[in-house]
Amino acid sequence: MNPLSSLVSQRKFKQQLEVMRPRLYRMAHAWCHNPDLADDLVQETMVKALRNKQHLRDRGAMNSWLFSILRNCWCDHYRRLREVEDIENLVLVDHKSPAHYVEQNNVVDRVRAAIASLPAGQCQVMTLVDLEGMTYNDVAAVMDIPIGTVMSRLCRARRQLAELLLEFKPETGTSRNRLRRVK
Amino acid sequence: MKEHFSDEHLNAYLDNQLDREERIRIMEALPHDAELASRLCKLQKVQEMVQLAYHNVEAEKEPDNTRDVARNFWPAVAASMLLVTGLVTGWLANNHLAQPTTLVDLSKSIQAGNQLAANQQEWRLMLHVSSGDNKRFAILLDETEQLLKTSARENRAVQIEILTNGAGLKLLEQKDRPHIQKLQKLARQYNNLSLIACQTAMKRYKAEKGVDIQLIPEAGTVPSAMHEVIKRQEEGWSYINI
Repeated sequence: MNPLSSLVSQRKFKQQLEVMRPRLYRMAHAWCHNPDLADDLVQETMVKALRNKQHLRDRGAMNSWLFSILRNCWCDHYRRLREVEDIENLVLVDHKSPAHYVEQNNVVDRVRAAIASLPAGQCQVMTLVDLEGMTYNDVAAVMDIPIGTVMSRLCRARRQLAELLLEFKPETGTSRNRLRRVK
Repeated sequence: MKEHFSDEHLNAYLDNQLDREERIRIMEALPHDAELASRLCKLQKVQEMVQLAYHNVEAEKEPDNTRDVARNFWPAVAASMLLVTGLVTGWLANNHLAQPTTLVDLSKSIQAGNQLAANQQEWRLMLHVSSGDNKRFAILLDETEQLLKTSARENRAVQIEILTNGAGLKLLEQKDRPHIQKLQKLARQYNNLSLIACQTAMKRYKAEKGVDIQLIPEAGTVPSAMHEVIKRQEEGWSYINI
């Protein structure tokens, strides 16, 4: 690649990164529930992305690649803090009772508090699907987990939120009709 | 016998992750299974609430001394998302439950899918208008009149609230427009029809045009469309975006 096209490519890459910054921040915020930490995680993600951009062969897959880096940064951050606990099962904010959610007047705060009560693995899967509109396959790739795990985590996450926010009556009994496949 | 679909099935349907054959099975079951429709609606609400909670989280990133001010803008964000909620719920009813062609049919479908509403004797409908399209106004008024007439004839208790904001304020503006006479006549004739304008949208109108919007005398106002939508939803009203 000649120097000029290399410069153009680099500039384009940085522009794409900047476009993604708000979306990365939103996701980081949804995962860590802390604006300052979310900022730090996004910054770290951007630095790593720039440093490793040669590993991204398909620019069309850039978004998923960035969210993978963000997830790794987030996991690293908590591993540094908690060497022992399994990050996937970690509940970052533990509120006292379901009444807590009902008592909060602001619908946004209520929903965020409910999301914060989810185990981290469920929270990540659900927010990647709901906020980014990712396919289950893409989420499986970002999270490095089987697609069946994506579906079961998503199911548990939405069920718990529904119970907390909508007085949802979960599905009862055994499922007679298993989901056979997704796209 | 009703076919059973797991929550995983419904989630995959909601997220457009099913292949065509599986999708069709659910679509075919929905019009005949109110419980299934209700479960789907609830999962959809959860999804929309998550989207609402992080709709514009970037806007909260203000310097510390202005962060409290920034928080006050959240109701506006919540409003826009809840309107999306209503639109989708309306779409759901419109496309899956009974293929309704009139507001009466649509109301029946939504009533069936709204557990809170289904427990109530009275039909309580919030019709939200945010577009300034005259054709929509005409359809809205024809359908509303039809619903009010039918309900009166069948002795069915019904409450209708038409909520306007954005370009929808034109519906209630005191101007010589084709629909105005009919709207005023309906409002005078039926005391179970209320017309509401959003004050936030009215302020925005003034900021943009430099003059206050003049509403017809039959119209009332609420401080915020969002609060009205939330209040009504909590009270079990069904919501339709026109």
